[in-house]
Amino acid sequence: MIVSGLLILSWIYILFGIVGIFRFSNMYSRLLTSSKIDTVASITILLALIFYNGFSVFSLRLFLILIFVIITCPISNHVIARSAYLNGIIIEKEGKK
Amino acid sequence: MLLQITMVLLAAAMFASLVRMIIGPTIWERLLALNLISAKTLLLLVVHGVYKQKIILLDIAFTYGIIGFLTITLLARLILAGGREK
Amino acid sequence: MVYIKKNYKLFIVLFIFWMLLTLSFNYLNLAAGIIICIAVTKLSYGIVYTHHSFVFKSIKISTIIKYFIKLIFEIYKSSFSYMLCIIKKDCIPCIAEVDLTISDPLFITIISNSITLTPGTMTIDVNDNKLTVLSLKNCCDYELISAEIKNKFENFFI
Repeated sequence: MIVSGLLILSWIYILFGIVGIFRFSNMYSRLLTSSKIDTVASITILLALIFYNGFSVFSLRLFLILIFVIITCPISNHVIARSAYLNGIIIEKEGKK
Repeated sequence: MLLQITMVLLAAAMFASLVRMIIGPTIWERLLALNLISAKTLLLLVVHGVYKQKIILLDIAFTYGIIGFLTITLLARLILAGGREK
Repeated sequence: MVYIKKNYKLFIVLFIFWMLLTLSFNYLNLAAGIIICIAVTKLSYGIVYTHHSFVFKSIKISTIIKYFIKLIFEIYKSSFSYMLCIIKKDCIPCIAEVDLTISDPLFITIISNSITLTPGTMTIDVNDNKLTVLSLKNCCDYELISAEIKNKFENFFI
């Protein structure tokens, strides 16, 4: 029950991640939208798989992967945003055209 | 059944970000699409490993995550330093 | 050997991670793990710890667990309000500067990582204890953003 609920929630997150890539026309909006929704989707899928396997060796390994994802996902997003900001991409107003 | 639909959706999301990678105007959007593809690959390996009940696929997923993180970090620092053209 | 006897904590943490990643109880595996962990502990003298204790200030485990639960709850709560933003398409990215009162580098790292982890905000740059935050809200109000960050995360570590 809880496994199917979490998996269906993760499908919604993945679909919104696809929509967020193609909907905006500014670069920072795209960066904020897609990568964040993607992080939440991966956390949700890993939690669902931990509940699916119960208490076994699989769950231990999946828990290690979950900690790894939580630590490294923000760093890679931050590095991309910092590289774009320091190279002088100007933030444009969007939606007031 | 639910796991199979999840795998199909992950493959579709990877294809969509590949399209973004081809038509992206600046280089940072291509980098962003590469980041998305790397995260989706880790998830696809994990879900397939649970579906087949083989534990070695989880180790391969772990290694793939480390390699993807190093790729993104090194490419971003190379572009920040000016790339090859400077 | 003297360093290891004084700083056995790092050795225990490394050996726990070795056993979690290999998960086999052969004699050969145990011997290789012990040798590699001793070498790493001896080589990291001066970087991670000195002869007093660790370089970083240690955090209580109960604080970490409470912070983790709070962080996951916060991520899900802000992701729902963020999906509405995608549907309506009325987002304006803006840049704000936040001054923190904490000056410890470890806590600044944890706080900026969790700012990036919640949907809608992202840390761009850090000077001493001044964060540059890229935010995506309907209204660009600097004081509101900084008050929100201080209420959510910083109060845990004071």
